[in-house]
Amino acid sequence: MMNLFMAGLRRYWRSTVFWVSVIAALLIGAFCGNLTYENQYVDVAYFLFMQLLYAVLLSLSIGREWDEGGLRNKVISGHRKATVFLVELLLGICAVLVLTLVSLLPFALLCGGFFPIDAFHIGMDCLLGLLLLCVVSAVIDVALCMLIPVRAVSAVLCILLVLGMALAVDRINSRLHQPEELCKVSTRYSEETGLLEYQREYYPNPQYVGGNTRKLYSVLVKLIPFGQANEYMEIIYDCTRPDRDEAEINTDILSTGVFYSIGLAVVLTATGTALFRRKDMK
Amino acid sequence: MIKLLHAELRRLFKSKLFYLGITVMFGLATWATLARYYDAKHLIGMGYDTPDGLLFIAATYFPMVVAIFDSLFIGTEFSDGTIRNKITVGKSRFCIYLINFTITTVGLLIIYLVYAITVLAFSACLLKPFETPTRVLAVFFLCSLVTVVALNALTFALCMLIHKKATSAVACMLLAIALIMGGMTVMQMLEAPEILTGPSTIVNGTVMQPESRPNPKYLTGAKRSFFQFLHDFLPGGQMLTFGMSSELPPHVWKLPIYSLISTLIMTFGGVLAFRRRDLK
Repeated sequence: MMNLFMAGLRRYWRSTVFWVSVIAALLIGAFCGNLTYENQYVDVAYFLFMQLLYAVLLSLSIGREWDEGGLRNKVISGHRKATVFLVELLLGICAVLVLTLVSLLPFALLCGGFFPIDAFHIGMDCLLGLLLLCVVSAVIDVALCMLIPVRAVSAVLCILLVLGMALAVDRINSRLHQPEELCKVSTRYSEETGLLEYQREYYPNPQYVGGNTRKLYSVLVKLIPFGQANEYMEIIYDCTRPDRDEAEINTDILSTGVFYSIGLAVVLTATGTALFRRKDMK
Repeated sequence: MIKLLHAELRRLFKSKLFYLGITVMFGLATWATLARYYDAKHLIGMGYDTPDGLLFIAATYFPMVVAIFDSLFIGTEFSDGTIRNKITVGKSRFCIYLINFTITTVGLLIIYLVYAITVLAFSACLLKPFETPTRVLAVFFLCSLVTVVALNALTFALCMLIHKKATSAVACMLLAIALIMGGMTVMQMLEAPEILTGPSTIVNGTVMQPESRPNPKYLTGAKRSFFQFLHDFLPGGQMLTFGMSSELPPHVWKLPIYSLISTLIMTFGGVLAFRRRDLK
């Protein structure tokens, strides 16, 4: 397994796609760092760009292994399919973490001083949560690419999956953030006082999602990496507000997010390994 | 040339990718209309009972469909060696380029029409008639067809110049994402209000006028003209205009002209570059 891993590392190190991705990660980090400095909040688009980058790198790298018969050769030479899958997964995770750290460097330099030093512990928790999400993204991409032998199709599917998850989270969040009640303000001229009187009338919002559907949506948002990233960004935004009160910041995701991420990663790895073991490699 | 055109048309109508595109757009149109019908039933009086906005919403994400279709359809031609074979048997590169461009355009227009027809058919049965005037719908529809051609010209040129199927798929999808996100960013910049006003407050039953101040991000002068041109010229921006507007912009007649210009430029540039390309 170690030999396979070292050979894989060399493969990534010599790959043009990997170095192009490193440059792209630097540019994304610089662009989003500058944007954060100007707008004074971290846009979730940063996470979206990075996820797209992971999808491109992993689909092209693993797709190349399929194209050149590298995966089949490893199986023929006596390595177990599960080992091959796990090694590709580890390599994918390493590559994704390298890209993330590379992009964080210009990001931190450009928006340095943006995050308040007294909320540093919350910031570090968010950063660790986000790094864990990068690992989950890598697991999703690797599992997909290891099961689809056609390089172009796996690249298209990985990119579509990232966009689909972002769109799904956006739709779910727009429903979850609906207020339970709506307010209708009506005016009436008072002949006694000669002034306009305002009356507020509250009525239930038909777009509000309650009950089990709300629970399901909440779990889904936390399961999808983009949704969890959104919640981390909200915490970071709350921490940077001048009138912030640390007690009021909802930090539930900092304690529960880890379990969702690890759970999803484990389930996907187990499913991916099981399906890859049954895959006909022709 | 006619034989080649016939052969390519046959290939298009036998292609699984083409039928997958039709199925996906049919599914999306059905889902969008049924979701609107569900909203119309549950959210009464909130303006969800008409199909306004549904017809052109596909235009906003259609660059992705074009990217996937073009890259996989043309990529297969390269990876199977069909394009090299055509050159070997004496067909000119100019002819091959134009025929492939025509075929992909036909395929994409059919896929686009499937969405529009499905929305019209389902909404006629389930929803009230459009509130948007028919003239606006007709103009937007015709303009969007020309934009699909321009979008295809751009993506197709990229596919004909990148021979590796996976690389061209990634490049085309990134281009499509850049067009959509770039279009959205420019649209937001153009729609920024000139004056920022805070919320009005009620003090002792009296409405206090909100404080107003000029928006520093409001675009003026040459900068505004440049971004407006960029928004109108690029297919991504045009598609957003069709997908998100309910009335005709005053310069709507410019949009098909810009699309034709970009189609001509991309096709001419693409043919020139393809003629010099080494096909090994």
